[in-house]
Parts: sequence; C-alpha cells; structure tokens
Amino acid sequence: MPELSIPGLSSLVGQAATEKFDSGIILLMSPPGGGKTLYCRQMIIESLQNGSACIYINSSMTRKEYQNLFDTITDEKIDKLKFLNPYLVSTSNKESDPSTSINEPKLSATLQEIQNTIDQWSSVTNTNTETTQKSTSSLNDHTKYAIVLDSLTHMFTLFEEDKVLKFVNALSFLIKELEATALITMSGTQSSNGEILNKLSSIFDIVVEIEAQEDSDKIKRKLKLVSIKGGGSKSASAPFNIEEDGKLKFESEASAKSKLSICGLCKAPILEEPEYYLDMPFHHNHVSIYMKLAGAFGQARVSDVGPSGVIDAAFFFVDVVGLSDPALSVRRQIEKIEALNDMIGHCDTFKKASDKRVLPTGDGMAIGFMLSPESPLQLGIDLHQALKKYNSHTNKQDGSFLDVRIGLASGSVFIVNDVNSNQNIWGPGIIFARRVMDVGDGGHILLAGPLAESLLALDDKYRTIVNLLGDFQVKHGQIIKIYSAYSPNEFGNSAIPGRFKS
Amino acid sequence: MTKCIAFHSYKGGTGKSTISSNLSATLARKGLTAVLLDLDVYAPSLQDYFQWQPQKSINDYLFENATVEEVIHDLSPVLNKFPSNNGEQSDSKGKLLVAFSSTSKDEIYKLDGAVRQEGSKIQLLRKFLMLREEIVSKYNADFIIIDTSPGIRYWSINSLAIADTILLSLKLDGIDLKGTRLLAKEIYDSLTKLGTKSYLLLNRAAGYCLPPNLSGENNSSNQELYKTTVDNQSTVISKLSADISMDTILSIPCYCDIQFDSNEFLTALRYPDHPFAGKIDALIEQLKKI
Repeated sequence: MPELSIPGLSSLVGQAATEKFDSGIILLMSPPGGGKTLYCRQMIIESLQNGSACIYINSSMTRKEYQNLFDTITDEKIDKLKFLNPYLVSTSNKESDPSTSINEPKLSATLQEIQNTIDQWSSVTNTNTETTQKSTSSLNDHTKYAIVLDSLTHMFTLFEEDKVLKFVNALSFLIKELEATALITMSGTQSSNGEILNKLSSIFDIVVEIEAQEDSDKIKRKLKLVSIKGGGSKSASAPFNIEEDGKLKFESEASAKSKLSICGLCKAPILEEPEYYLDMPFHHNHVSIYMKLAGAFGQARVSDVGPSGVIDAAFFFVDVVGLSDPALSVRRQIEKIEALNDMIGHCDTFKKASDKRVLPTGDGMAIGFMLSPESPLQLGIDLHQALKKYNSHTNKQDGSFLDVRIGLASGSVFIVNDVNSNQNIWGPGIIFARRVMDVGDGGHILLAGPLAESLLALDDKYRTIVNLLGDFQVKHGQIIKIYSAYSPNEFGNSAIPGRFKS
Repeated sequence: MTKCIAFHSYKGGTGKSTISSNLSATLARKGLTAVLLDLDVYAPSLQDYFQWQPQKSINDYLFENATVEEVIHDLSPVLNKFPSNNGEQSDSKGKLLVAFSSTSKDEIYKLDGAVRQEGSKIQLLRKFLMLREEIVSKYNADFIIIDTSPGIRYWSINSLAIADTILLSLKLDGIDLKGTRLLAKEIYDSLTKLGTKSYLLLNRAAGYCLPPNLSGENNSSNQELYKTTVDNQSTVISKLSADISMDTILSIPCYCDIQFDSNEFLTALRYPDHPFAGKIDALIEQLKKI
C-alpha cells in the first residue's frame, strides 16, 4: 500500500501515530503568505511519488497556473493528477445533483467530475488487472487517493456558504468511501475561522495551522497541530522552510531525534518518541500529570524548573593519583583503573542511584547524579571506605597502593549524544567538578562552594564533615570557594592541599 | 491494569488512613495485589495500623537512599492473623504491600525543606513519579492506594495528580463542608477535566445507632431531633454532591464501637461480620466498576 504523504505530520504526532492515520480529512489553516498552496503542492507531489492518485481542486487557479505549479512532475506521474477549478468547470448538460442537495450547478458538476475521474482511474485499474499489464504508472486495487481542496475560503467568495458547506459534506462522504486522504485549506486562523470550524468540526480528523512570523528579513514558519480526533489538542509544532524551488523542508526526523528532548515534567531525557504540550516535550505518561499539576499549582510553578535541554545535576569526579608516573608499569596502571571501577561499581550509593550518567575519563571517571545532591559526597565516603580495605593489602613501595582524589560540584549540563549514539553529559557542572578535583592531593574529597553550601543547608550532619578551605583561583582566572570533606581515620584528607598552600 | 486511588480530605481525622488501610488489607484478602503508600508525609500513621517499624521509608526512596524493593514491605502475613468471616484463611494469591513515610522528625523536616528549593523539588517529584512507575512495572499491582495529607499540600497534590480516582472523605461538619467545596473548586476541577474520577466518601455519618441518652426513651422531641439530624444529613450531602458535581461513592456511619476500641485498626479483618467490613466490601465493589 502506498505510504501517506502529509508533510510534517510525523513531526507533529510522531511516526507511530502517522502510520496509524491511513485515511481521513485534514484541515490546514494559514495566514496569507503562510505557504498553504505550496504545502498542497508538496502533499500532491509526495503522494504521486508514493503511488497515489491525486485530485487537486482550486477555485482561484487557471490551468496555466496549475501547469506552472506542477511543471516538475513527469508525464508519467501527471496522468494520475487531475486538476479541477469548480468555478471553471463545465456545467453543460449537467443539472445539480439532487442526491447531494447542493443546488449549485458548478459545485455539483465538480463533485460529478471527481466521481468520474475516480471511476475512470478504477476502470484503468481493472483493465490492467485483467490484462496483467505491468506498468509503473498504472493503478492497482490498492491505489490510495489524495484529494486536495485549496481553498475553502476562496470558494466562499464564489458560492453561497450554505452550498459550499453542502459540497464539502458530500465530498467528505466520497472521501470516506474511497478511504482517501484529503487536505482542505482555509485562509486565517483557528479563531478567525471559528464559526466555519464549528459547522464542519465533525468532518475533520486533524486540524493544523501554519504560523508565519517575520524575523529580520526572513519569514519563520511552523506547522502547528490544533487538534486530532480522539486526541484533543496537543499544541505540537514543526518548523519548516520554503526553499527556492518551492519545496517545504521540515526539520527532518533524524535531526529531530538527534536533538535532545528533556521531559517538561520530570526533566529526564526522553528516549522514546516525545509527546508535546505547549511546545514542550514530555514522556508519554507525563503529559496528563503535568497538565493536572499545572491546573492545581499553576503553570509557572510546574514549568519554571530549568530550561528544556539542560539538566541540573551533582557531579563526582575522581582520578587515580600518579597513574601516569613512568615508573608504574602499564599492567599496574590497568590494575588500578580496574580496581577503582570495581570499587565504585560496588558502592551502595552508586548502585542505588537510578538516574546517573557515568563518563570514563581514562584515569578515573565522572559521574553525574540527576536526583540527589547528597549522592556525590556519599559516594566519595563509600569509596574511601572501600579503598581503606583495598589498601590494607597494598603498599606504597611496589606501586600497588591506590590513591585517588575526588572533586564534587553541582551545576548545569547538557545531555549530548556521543559517537556511539549514547547519551552523555557535558557542561559547566561537570567541568567545575574537574577543576575542584585538580586542586586536591591524594585522599582529598573537595567540594565546590555551591554544592557544599546546599549540603550544609540540607542537613546538620554535614557541618561536622564539610570544612571551608577558602577561595582558590582555578583555570582562566576563575575564583571558586572550596570545601574539604573529611572525618579523621574514616574518609577524606584533613591536610590543606599543596596547590592551595602555594 | 493498575488502578491508582488516592484518599484525600480537607481536614484531618476524616478516616483516610483507617479506610485506606482496611481497604488495602481487604483487597489483598480477596486475592488481589494492593500497594498502600503512606503519603501523609507530615503525620504518617500507617506504622501503627500495621504495627511495623520499617527499615527504609518512602523518604529514603525519594532521596535515593533506598530502592523501591527496600521501601515496599510485604505485609501479607499480617492477613493470616485474622480469621475470615467463614473461618478460612485469606486467598493466598493476595498481596498486601505497604510503603511507609518516615516518622522521624528530622526526615520530615528534610523533606519539607527540600521541596522549598526548586532544584531538589523537581528531583523529588521525578523520583515520586518513578515510584508509581516502578510499582506498576515491578509489582503487577491491581491497586495502588495512596493515603495523602489533608488539605492543599505539595505531596497531596502530587498524589492526586498521579491517581486515577480520588476519594474525598469528609465528615458533615461545617468546616469540612466548606473546605470540601474549596478543594472541589480549586483543585479537583483541573484534575477531573483531564480524566481523574472523584467521589465523595462520607464518613462518620449519623444513623448507625441511637445515641445512648436517647435509647429506651419515649421522649418524642428527642426522637424527632434524631430523625431530623439523619434527614438533614441526607439533604446536605445531596446538595453538596450536586453543587460540586461529585457523586457519593459510600456513606460510612459513625461506628461508636470502632471509635472506642484502642489499637484496633484493621477492623474489617478483625471483625469481618461488623457492618464496617461490609462497607469496605461495598467500596471495593464500587471501585471495581470505575
């Protein structure tokens, strides 16, 4: 079966929903200059390319204009495209079709022409089937039909509203019988077309509108979902450009996927197809919860937590001290890295943190904890306790003693896709943790000011273990407040770091 | 498919914990899996109902100090302490799983403090959403029953937002009636518009028994007063129900024999022939229909 071609639909409702929508009527509203005729053109061209047969109804276009609009279509494809201008359609020997009660000869004749065209194509189909003639241009039993009416608003200027509505109603029955896809356009917006929309609302399966805004010397356009039958209003949108050759270029699926989507409610990355509400992406099952909370708390209180695409997290940065010492054999270096990885992997805090990101750094690792600001320090303490046990079987002379330094910080990071398409984190929060770690010596657990201060405010227990060292100038002249976490004989290093003293 | 039901009220003392505990236990006894969450985080009481001291609480889960498995306690064996009304043990397939809020003052302060900071607030909310999702995916629960804090509180609203059905328990005193109207207008409207079902659950209604000072009396004026009270109650609840467009799912009378039985919380199991147990059964039947 040919694929449906509705430009931008998958960006609005997702690929899965687009695949389910195999017939129906779409209403497209657009302000003047929004690009609705080019949208119609694109839908027709893509439908033809996908094997559909198309009927294009335009009451303001001459045959010459029509030919110019579709001059890039090959003769083979143009056979499956029928152009009709209801105003110019011949009404000779044709009365208004009493069965449709349209009472308007031209509209009645247009409807009859549509029916005749379908019948004619069907007869070609049957002939082809009978003769088993194989031709890429021939229609078959599975042919899909696309019908485009551009525009309803112009039809109202030529014919009485009541008659146009009856025509659309009759057309909609034909579309259903054919299981076709139809696009009907109107000028204006949802609010300016409110009255007509109310009268025709039951006909449309999907209502979309083009929004066009001038931005310096360019017009920024986007296709917005107004409503979808059974799904209510979703307010999703898909930006697009009109290229020089008149093609509409929507943000491609690939580039949309490569963009990070962060759930507007829980701020976690969305790994599946996001669902949109108020232009914000959500996990599928979080949209209604967000809407409920927004209703109960107020929109601002739910949505003001962090910009989309950026996550606030707390970071743990660790490296092995002296790993690059040339006196240390490669085997010993590997042993140490593996031992460190193994110890961290067995720490309770690491195991229990359900939302974390781990970035190996060669001689250590960075771990971002998305949920708890307490986790990095707790992991540092867990690790020091594990190291204590491990080092009871090592000695400094043979190089087996494992010494690490730890830097902790909080801040914003972006989630980025790495070369293996895995999601990783990068940004000021993680860089800050690295800078803080670099200040320390073996055994130090150093914290950046903001993280330390939030822990001190959170729980009194931190007052005995988190100690202010003072301000320190790190790379690029940045001055940061540094704290050291320690408890004698348990974890941390109470000595002032060498770099700090200097 | 898991049904998530939240008990809420404007005022405290309307019977949320009693009814939610007895409902959960009765559901489990009937062979269903019920997960009861104590989200009355400011005044948790379910530890008393089940006489259970948990090692890990929902607070630990929210702060990432515990996994869902560590905070969900299987209290199904508790069911076997009580005979069923035909003398048989409970359906062994049923599970009563309970997660408690911490009763530690420090933990309550900590949670309260963390929700005042936007950064930690969203992290807690995310974890809270994960709690429901983990329960659904790991425990195959038939029902999640949430006992919330009364009034318009952060965790109450979150609980209502994740629930499919809200049971608003109330007593028929003036303040509770006024507060219930406020909740309906300020909070419930936005939830029900998006598909949440909400019902009134009238607790401690008049009509179970004659007050002792009236029983055996032939004082017609006192009898008349009693009748008027019961009739008025019916009128008041009908008007409230119509005004706020919420049906009454159940009316539980004021059982004086329960009120004065100290430390006896799982009444529906302890006294399966008591009319209270019948009311819990009736509630289950109603909930199954939703």
